[in-house]
Amino acid sequence: MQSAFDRRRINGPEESSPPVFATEALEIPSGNAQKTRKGRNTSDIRPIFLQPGLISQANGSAYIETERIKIACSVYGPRQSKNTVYSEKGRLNVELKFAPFSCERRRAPLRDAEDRSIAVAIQQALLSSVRLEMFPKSTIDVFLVVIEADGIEGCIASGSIAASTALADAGIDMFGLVMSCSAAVVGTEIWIDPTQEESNLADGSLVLACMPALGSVTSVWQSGRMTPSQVLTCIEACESKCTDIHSVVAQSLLDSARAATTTNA
Amino acid sequence: MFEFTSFRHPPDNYSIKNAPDDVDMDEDDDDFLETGGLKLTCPGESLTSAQAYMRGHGTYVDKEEVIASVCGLVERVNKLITVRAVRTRYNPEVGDLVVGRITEEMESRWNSRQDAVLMLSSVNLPGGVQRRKLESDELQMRTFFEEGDLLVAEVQAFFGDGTMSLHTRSLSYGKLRNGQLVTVPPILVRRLKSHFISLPCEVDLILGLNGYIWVSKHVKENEREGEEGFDAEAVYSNRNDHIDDSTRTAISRVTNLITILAAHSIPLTDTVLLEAYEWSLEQEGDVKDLLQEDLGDALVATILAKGA
Repeated sequence: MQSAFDRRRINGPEESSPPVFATEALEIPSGNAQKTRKGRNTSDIRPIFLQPGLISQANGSAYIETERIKIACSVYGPRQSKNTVYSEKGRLNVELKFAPFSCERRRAPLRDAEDRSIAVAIQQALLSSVRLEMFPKSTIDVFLVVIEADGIEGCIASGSIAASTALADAGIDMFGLVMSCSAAVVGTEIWIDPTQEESNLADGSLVLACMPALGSVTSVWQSGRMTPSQVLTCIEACESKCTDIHSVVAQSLLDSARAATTTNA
Repeated sequence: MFEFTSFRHPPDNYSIKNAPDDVDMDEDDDDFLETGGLKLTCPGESLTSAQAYMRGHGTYVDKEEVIASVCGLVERVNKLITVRAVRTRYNPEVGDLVVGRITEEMESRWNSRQDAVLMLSSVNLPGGVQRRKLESDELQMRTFFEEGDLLVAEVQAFFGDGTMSLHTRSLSYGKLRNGQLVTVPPILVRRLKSHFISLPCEVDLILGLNGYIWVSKHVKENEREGEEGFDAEAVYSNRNDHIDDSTRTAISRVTNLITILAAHSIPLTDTVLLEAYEWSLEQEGDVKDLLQEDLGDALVATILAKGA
């Protein structure tokens, strides 16, 4: 395990936790008392800010912000695969990294196991949308950096949206844009797009990724305890939200494409 | 519930047929194909029926419908529908000529814009045609190239991670002096036989494939590399030579012409530039008048008429 240290960083102590302030301590929910959502309706998602093409050195990039989730995504490629074995289809490589300061507890770079599982979830969400048969022998690299995190489900959802936008920004052929939305079962209610705090209260959660333009689902990721009927309700709720998000994302891509064509023209 | 803000706002006077308010997926109007106006699209958006049209690049067919697979501009040639991705980024290839600016100085290498590196081992060292690099060379790297310096170089190779490596091993490459830089979209610079162009008006041009164009004072034949008049000391010099007024006018005239041609998305070649220059001399206007819209339109009309 010693080798998993990045020696160029200032490595903090093994165990550290953020200071707890007196005002915060009072707000900690006691048991099951708090089961009504604060701040927004159960069917509302957090406002989205999305900007394609922020990283000039990448082939395509996007930055997404949904309240306390901030993710930057860059796409490199398609470029020649490193291994020389011939492959008919291209490879989609997704890597996600948490900034050390992104969560309440410090994320130890290299020793974090969670980033890989989220990267796999995002890769699953994107995989069927990219026309990999167009890129034989090549690799498309997608790199995500989580600058601030607020709930794993939200990270997967926002990460998938950012990655899909960045792929579109890179001009990579896709069947459709992938949108993603999460939902959690809290008591008898279903809360869309839960924050970290809210998913701690939840019995189970679900992340849906779909291509609203084609009406097809690319991945469903469910954890915790949910009844089949709850799962179906969640999927339906998420799908309708994805359609809404799709219009926002498509709009932002068209805006950036228009800006690019006007500067060109 | 949704809010969406954008850093850069597109200009208001820009109107697009089929404005993107209706990102509705099942919209079914084909009239954009008739008007020839700009139409932008996103992956997954259905463009038209596959029975009437053929699919081209950037599209695919599903359930009898032509659907876009990239984000960009829809183009139609007769019955062929293509979507061209808005890609303004330069994709390097080995052997390409590029013009760049040094952004960073590192141990035994210089970095320039868009991830290119120029290794100390791939520049011509002063005094001696080919010699081994010494530690002293590494220490005085700033005397060769400094941050902010413009240079012309050739793409030498790619590293494993896709960044490009440049070289200035030929004496025609190196630091740029005596001129002005113009930037155009990289797509407008085609691959030519030679990217060093001399116009008869005492102006030299270097067309970098990354869209950077260097317009400078003409170098006389006998002062070229290898001739007796060649000044080896001047290769890494930071001083401009004396440039007389007529050359200055010619340089700004060529610069303005390039700006106009680029604004009208006309690919730049030596013949096009020559024609444009001759045309602009006929107009008897001041150099700055060229940038007026009506003159620019007239220029583009003449060029296109000659090209056809």
